[in-house]
Amino acid sequence: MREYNHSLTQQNKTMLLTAFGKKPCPEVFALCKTGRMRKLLILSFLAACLQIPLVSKAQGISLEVQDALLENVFNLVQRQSPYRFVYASEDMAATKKVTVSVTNAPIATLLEKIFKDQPIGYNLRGQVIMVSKINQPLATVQFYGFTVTGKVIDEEGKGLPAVTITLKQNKFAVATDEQGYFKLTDVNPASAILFSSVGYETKEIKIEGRNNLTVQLFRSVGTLDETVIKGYYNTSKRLNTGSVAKITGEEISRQPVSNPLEALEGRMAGLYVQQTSGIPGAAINIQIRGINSLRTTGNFPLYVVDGVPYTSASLSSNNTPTTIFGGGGNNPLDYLNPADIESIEVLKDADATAIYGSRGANGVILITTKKGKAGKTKFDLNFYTGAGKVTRMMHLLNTSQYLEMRHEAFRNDNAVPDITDYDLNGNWDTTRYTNWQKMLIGGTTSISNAQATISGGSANTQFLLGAGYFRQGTVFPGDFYSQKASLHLNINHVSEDHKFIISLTAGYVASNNRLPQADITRTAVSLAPDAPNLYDQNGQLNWQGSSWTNPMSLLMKQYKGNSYNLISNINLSYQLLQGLFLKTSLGYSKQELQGISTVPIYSWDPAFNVTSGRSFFATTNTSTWLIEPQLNYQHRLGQGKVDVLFGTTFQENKLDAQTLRATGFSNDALLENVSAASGIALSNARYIQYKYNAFFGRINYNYKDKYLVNLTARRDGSSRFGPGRQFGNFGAIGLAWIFSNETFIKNNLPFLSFGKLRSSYGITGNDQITDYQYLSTYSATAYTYQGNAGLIPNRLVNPVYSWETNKKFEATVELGFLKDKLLVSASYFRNRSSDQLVGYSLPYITGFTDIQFNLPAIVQNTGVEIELNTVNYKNKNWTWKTNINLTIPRNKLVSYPGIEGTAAANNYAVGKSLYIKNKYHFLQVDPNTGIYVNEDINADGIINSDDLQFLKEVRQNYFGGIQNSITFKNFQLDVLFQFVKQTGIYPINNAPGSLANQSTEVLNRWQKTGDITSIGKFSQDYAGAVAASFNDAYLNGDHGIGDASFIRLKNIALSWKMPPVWLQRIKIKSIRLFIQAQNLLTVTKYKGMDPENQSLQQIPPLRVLTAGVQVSL
Amino acid sequence: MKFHCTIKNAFFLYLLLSACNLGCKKFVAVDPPKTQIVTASVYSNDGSAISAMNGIYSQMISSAGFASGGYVSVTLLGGLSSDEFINYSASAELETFYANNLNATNLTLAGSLWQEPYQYIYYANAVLDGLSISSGVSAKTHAELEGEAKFIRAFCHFYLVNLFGDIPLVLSTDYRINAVLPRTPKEKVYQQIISDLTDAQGLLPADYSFSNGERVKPNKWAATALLARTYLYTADWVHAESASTSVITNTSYSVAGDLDNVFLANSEEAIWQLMPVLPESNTNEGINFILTGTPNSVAISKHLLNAFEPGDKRKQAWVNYYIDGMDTFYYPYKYKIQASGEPVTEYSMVLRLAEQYLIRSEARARQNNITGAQTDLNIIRARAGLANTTATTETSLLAAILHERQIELFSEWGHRWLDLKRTTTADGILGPIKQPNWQSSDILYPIPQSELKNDIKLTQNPGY
Repeated sequence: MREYNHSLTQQNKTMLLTAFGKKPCPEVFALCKTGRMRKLLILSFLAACLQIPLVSKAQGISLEVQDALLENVFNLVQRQSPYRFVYASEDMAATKKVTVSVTNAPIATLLEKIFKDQPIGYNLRGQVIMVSKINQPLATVQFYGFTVTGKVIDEEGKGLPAVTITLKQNKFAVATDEQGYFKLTDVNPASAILFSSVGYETKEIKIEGRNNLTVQLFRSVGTLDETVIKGYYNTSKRLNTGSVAKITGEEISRQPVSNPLEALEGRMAGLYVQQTSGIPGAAINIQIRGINSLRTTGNFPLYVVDGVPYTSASLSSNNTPTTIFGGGGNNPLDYLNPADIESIEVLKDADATAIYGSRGANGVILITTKKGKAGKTKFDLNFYTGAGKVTRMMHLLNTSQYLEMRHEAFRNDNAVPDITDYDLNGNWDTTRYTNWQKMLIGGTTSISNAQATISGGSANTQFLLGAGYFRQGTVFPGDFYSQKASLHLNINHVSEDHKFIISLTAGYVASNNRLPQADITRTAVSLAPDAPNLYDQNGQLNWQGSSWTNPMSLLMKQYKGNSYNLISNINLSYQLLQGLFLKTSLGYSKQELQGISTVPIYSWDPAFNVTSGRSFFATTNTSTWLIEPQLNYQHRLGQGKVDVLFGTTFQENKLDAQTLRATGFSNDALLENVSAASGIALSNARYIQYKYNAFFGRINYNYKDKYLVNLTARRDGSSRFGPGRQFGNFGAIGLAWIFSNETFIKNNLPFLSFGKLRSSYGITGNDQITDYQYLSTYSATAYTYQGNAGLIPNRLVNPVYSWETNKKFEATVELGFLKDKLLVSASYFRNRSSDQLVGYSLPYITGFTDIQFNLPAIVQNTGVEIELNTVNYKNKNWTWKTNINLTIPRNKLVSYPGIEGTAAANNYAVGKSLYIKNKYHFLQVDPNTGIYVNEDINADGIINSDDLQFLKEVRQNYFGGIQNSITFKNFQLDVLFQFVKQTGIYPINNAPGSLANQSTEVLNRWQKTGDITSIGKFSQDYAGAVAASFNDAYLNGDHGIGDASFIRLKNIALSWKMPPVWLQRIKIKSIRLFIQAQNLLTVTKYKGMDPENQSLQQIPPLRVLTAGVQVSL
Repeated sequence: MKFHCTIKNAFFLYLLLSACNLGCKKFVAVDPPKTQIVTASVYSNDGSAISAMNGIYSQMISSAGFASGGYVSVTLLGGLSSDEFINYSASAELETFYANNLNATNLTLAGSLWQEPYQYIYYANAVLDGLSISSGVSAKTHAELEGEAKFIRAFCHFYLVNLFGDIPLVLSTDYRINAVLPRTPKEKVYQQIISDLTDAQGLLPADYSFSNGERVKPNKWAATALLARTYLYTADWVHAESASTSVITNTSYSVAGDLDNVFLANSEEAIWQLMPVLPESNTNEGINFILTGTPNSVAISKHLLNAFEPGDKRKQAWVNYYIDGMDTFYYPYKYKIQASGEPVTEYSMVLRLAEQYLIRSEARARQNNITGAQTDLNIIRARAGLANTTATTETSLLAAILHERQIELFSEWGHRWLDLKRTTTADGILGPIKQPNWQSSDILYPIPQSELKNDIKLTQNPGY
């Protein structure tokens, strides 16, 4: 069962309660009612079935009310008696208020009194009181004496519970039980039956005299009624007033990824995900609607796993020295098991994020894990295995081209190779050729994944237990890998009276990395092709007379990380009154990372006489606890529904990290044993306590499913601010108008099946700054002096800074055509972020580089997001669906008072985007000299900081994805293309001509007077004029900025389900075979390695191909 | 009944939430982190206040920069800029020091030679601030720490003014003042250095009791020695002579007879040494200079090598070499220990007595005290096994002293670079050997570019 069922739509409730239900009483089900009420009836009937005590005896009812709503009277009766009312809310609108006073009265007496002069009537059947409009008398029952039984199954052949089954002859309706079985009595054998269920296509079957039917329902193509989890409450896409993108667990499962964030790439509008490396667990850049904060660390979204905030900061960044995961350290979401995830919702606009207050400034990523479902105990096994390689390699010079470059460089410089030019001076064998890319990063990695799940339960208690294992290697030579094992548990219980619900979810992931400390990609692309053999004749590392750093020695410096991640939460809900629920979420999560980085003696050139090894031992512990009591009230108000939520959050995060530097290991075999060290020093200690407290409220009013208003407010307090500055108020309003529900639209635009306009505006805050900045403190130095502790000041202090604010506006139109077979939505958003908490840059003479400050700078992100979902073709055997998303983002620094004279002026310019680069502008390679020429703005003859210009941006112009999904009988094919139109940086090593390999592109260099080219003349002099002009053109200039657009076949998944007839023979519920691939093809003109990570330091994302099988028992 | 009960429940919940509301201000107040100490409590007692000074020394010696003797210290970078070393490092930034082709965007320059000393000045000012409002520190410790802080402030300003010329003079911790400081004329900087050192002389103990007998914290004589140098640099020959005399006549210090003993921990010649703090390590100089393979940092230049007079024992004791096939690389061997794990027997020398003799010799020569100047110079020459100086005039003596300083103080603290600058001999000496890049303006390093951006009142040195 779900956590927050109380705000589900009525339709969902049907399913929900059916799921609770015991074996229902089908006989009682055959009721007749007007079409639009039938679901309601079933609902209430089920409730009735469940709640009727086994022994029931006539009992009196005592009641004293004045001017009470009829519904409230029903409730009061239900509270003290077994009688249950069945009615449609809309029929209640016209009823009169009731004043009645009875003591120990029989039910009939009471009913007579309260229904007196009402526009509705009632019908007492046993303990069920059917209420309906008087002018629509209950249908009379005809006797045909014909019974139909059967089963409704889904696409996988599993029984479908809670399917509404309506007899066309008289609108009799029943529902299927947990296993999908149903029974209809008194059926006209010539009639037809309608099968309908939320999320499935309605099907009509003619009975044609059959007694037994098996009916298969297919998932409906329209996604409008799919549940959307929106923080503390759920809604549907149809009724949502905010902007939420969603990916289902099924979509995640089609992608062989280790980190669930990777599965989001290209699938959602407004979300840009960039893999920075092909190392499992490496840093991932993620931006929801652009960058809002001038602080690079202030742009993390909020991650919430099952209601508990999850760390966005890397644990490894506080841990042992390793650069293997990239700049930001390893991504903490890699500690999750993608297979445990039921759905990921990305909350984008103010309406959706405001309930998270300050934490939601950069958007919210809600991760919901899988929950148990009632039904027969079910085993699921899933296994896949495969291989990966890097997506792209560089075209590098071969030995003869390389030597040509080097010799030409010396000729150009009028120099001869000296003792350090090992590649030419005879030290290295110039006839050798090694493809170092192939040698060092050209390997094939293996990937395997196994998952097992068991789930099931009764109507009141359900469970799910999952276990998983994932292992991925690296493409480097040697035995490197990351593996993780996980357990996932969910238990739900609902009390017999359905008032009390408890749900427990716990996940534990243990992962284990064994990786090189540093990525060797740069070595692979820059080693000279005539560099020596890795090993000498004796199989020892070859140092070739100390002429190089043997790349294998880099791989010997290893990093081992063990991490343990516990996420647990309990959700409690109690129904205090009809429509009033008291809920509490309790969450606790804890992540621990133990890292060891080792530098063995053997990794050193013996000439350095290093006789001892060293290691770093580090532990990082973070924990979060959370208590969130909430009150939720749902009530009918006029012709609409009001839903009120009020709650409070108490949250505490702690981080405790220590790194020990251990030295003097006499033996490499002992490097992981800290007690074998002769010297131990604390090299890093961090402790952070963060507390957060908030009050939040939401009022939602839905008038006839046509007009919706959603108001959210939150008062947040954060310990990251000084006394008196801790609290901030935030809020949002969301409005929606479902104009397709207006009669005049229905009448005039019949092709329009759905139409909604929505808009939202709100303010959220941001407190993503370093803790304790308002405190003047000292910290211990890494090393003692004379055995006594050293203390140094931590920072310059400004105690009065406070919240960054983020104002978000969005307007969206959502349209559905052809019975929602074509759904389009187009959004425009504008986020303005101000009071920027930027470390205000100070000159070094102040002793520090910056101070915390609220700057009145305004950063604006605007954009257009378009999503298109179509069902192109569908018949019995074939379905073809397409989803397209497109995002066109724009970013601008609107204002920055006083930017002149600050360090920000080095990086940003008012009126330009934050993605702008302040660089020298490369003009040409001088045809006369072969030197790179940059624009000398002030024509003073030197290129210095006065010549920097804000000309080129490194950013996405637009991006998106095209996903096609085709099913044919038992085959399913999903293909996702990701497209990104962007400018990027082409990282380049050294000036061509020095002792480093280069792209073959450099062969197009300047050679003689008059040559027109963009590559300067070869030079080997680091400090020479060519090298200086090269640095100014590439490192400090914009020569390397160019098109990095790409189209990537991001994901392709093909599966085949074994036909049920085969399965029956082997008594297995289902078997599915599949092939999946990630990053299979890339089309790009990018000059570097991979256009996505744009790095020579980090290995590109991997191209992965896997095959697997899924079995359900 | 039940109904009322739930109303009561709801009411209770409301009360509970209201109570939480009142309590939440308290809830979001957190204690200072365990790993940090609130400033006020640092200066509440002797122990932690002393730690605030220890922190500065620990940082100075454990970084690779400014005062560490390491890879990007004044010792190494000053040596590259002058004629002491050949660059073998692959760093383009170091190459520009060697080629006297620096530009203002050089990050090594900005980080090691500008930012780092200013950071220590801030720390020292913070100690002075902290002490000024503290009542928990004993009078004795208060005086010692104030003296140490003023010494460090003077010491850092001394190197900044020599490397960069006019510099911002930072005397407070208030960023609102400091962030917009203009450059102070170097005469005024020297005045402040002299004032700080004079204060320090009065505050610091005359022995090493406050550093457990080890010569690892600057005492009164360190302040006096640096004062002597400052007077020399500001052409105040009378005071330079008197200050150096008071150090020389102090019986705690004597010129070590054995050249191999000069750089040992607490050697008789040491006035102030920084103690290595990295575990298992001796000095950064030893780690950095000693060659066991083809150099990948620096080696001694032939100009320095050829400057040794025949029979100079210092060439045997303080220079060593590594032969790689046909090539021989010479390296500074004042510090003998490179390997990790050896017992720590060498400390990094900052101020030593030999320099004081050379200071006095020069001050005397400038005052035309030829005999006095010769006597002091000959003490240093005698230890090196050399005959008495043949210089007899002020001019020839000054040349002899400059030469003696080149040999005696090589690979220490950029002495050569500072000497060439203050004696205005750089153009003549470096001009010919540092072709084609040498320009007269190279004698001052550029003010870091980022600094000019962040402090609008700063101006650049000529030539950059």
